[in-house]
Amino acid sequence: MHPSDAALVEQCLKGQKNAFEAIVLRYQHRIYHMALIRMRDRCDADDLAQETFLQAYRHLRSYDPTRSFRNWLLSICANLGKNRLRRRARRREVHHRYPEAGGSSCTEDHSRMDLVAGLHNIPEKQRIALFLKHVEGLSYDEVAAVLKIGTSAAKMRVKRGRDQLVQYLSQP
Amino acid sequence: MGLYDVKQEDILLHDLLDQPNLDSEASKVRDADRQRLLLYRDVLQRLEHYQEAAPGDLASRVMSGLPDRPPIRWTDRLRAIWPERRFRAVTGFAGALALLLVVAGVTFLWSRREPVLIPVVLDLYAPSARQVELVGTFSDWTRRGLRLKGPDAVGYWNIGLRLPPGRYEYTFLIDGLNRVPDDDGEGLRPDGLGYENSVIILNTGNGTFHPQPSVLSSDAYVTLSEDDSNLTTLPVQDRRQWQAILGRGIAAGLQGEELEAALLGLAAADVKPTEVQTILGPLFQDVQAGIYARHLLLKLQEAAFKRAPRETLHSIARARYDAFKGARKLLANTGHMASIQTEPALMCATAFALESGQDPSLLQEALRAGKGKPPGRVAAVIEAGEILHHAGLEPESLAPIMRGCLEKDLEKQEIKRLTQRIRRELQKGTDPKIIQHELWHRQACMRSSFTS
Repeated sequence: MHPSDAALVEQCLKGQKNAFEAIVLRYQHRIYHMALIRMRDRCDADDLAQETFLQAYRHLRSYDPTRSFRNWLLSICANLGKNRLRRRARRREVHHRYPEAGGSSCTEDHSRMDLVAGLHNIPEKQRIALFLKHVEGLSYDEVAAVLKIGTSAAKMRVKRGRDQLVQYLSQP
Repeated sequence: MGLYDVKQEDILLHDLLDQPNLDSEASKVRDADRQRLLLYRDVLQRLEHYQEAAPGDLASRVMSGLPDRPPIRWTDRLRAIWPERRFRAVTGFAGALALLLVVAGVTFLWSRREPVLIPVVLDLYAPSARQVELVGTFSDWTRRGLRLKGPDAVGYWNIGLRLPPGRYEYTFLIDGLNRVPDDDGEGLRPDGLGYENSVIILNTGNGTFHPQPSVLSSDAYVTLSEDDSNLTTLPVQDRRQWQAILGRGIAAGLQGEELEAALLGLAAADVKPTEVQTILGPLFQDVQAGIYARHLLLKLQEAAFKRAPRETLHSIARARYDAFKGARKLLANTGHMASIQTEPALMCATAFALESGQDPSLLQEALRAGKGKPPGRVAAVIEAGEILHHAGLEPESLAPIMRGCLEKDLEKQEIKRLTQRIRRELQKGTDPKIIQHELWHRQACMRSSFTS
């Protein structure tokens, strides 16, 4: 039986650093995925995921165990990603429109490439809302809490994201 | 259940997409809409199955960069002593209450602070006098032992006082008999009894006037020597009637001590309580008498002190009462109604000017020119106008000067200097037209030299 997030956090706070490794292993793919959706660049996504876990560890004492650890982690990633995008906009860096070919990219089929291209065609705010809703499976209230916006704004972002994704993928 | 019209209500499509049993709901919509719904479903299903794997070494890189224990930051320490979330409203309320108490305390202390005292030295040349006293509004027109020191080798008597800002009227009393106004004062004004009082206007530059006339501060009382303890008892003769008047006055909102002092002064001047009742009748009936009640009482005290005939008491009380009524009307007509409560100096200045016989239309013009200006500054201009009017400046020369002071936004001290200069020129016999012509030129020169 796997220990709960709250139990792992408690162990971390008691000085058992290895408990945090279990947390990282549990959430690394989700966080990395979210970072990639947000940053559209594998290097940046890797950095963002790493920074997310680092910040979570540093602020572990401020985590409220009565709330979802996953959502707390996602909100850290969302905030850090927002800051990184701002910095990138200030530096006017040219980023890759599509994710670079990674280790598994050779095996990705055409359909997957289309989906990724469609996702990256959506504005960042809607893209991240769509990810949280449909990939992470959060409710609208949870999406709103992670992004620190109202529920109606979260709904609107998801709706617009869906429309744009379908429109992109429906193009001949 | 009818068919859903997804095209007309696009939002409904998204509501359906959020349903857990989307397939069964899809069967209820029209064919075309169903196709669109299924297209959305397919795309979202692709999205839901889309996964990205983190690099294999991510966890090891994360762990290698972490300290052994999560650091304890100052916010965490603060949070440790901070109550649970559900009690935050209580602590927030307590904090707001503490802040309110601090603000209230500071405001209270600020309001209780001693007003700024302005040192004043008054002197009189009277080499042959045996005793010179100072009597005026700051001593409620009673002889309180404000004795001048002197004479010096030249023959001057002088007294040093520290007074709060305000407007004061006074006169010197030589050997307890002769009243002599101060020619070197800021100005003179008729006292309504056939004599003149000296006027002194004390202000703190850019500061505001205190409600006037101000009473002596505790510091100033150091110079007083006579015992005032008799103020607490009314005259034995006709005591009931005096007490009835006092009671009516207090019921009308007047200050008991001031009224009692005034009654004592009137009783000492052998004025009967029935006459006082008649004189103060309008004051007791006027609900807004608070602002000028003190001035009316002071006038009666002054009249009693100067041994004015009894029939004169009625007329001077009436004159002051009418002057304040007229001032209120003038202020109301010229858009200064709000200043009556916030800046009584303007109403007092207007009333005193009216009482001195100044043309109401001239005052009205000045008040209109002063609309939107600080009331204290408008009051200073009206006071200057009153002094210059009594010094002999005709209304046709006075009006442009008063208007000019307001249009040029002169400070109170500048208005004061200007008034003194015009008075000197008038005493020299200079033509008012020449004074007026040269006035602004010299004023501009003084301003430019001051600023440079």
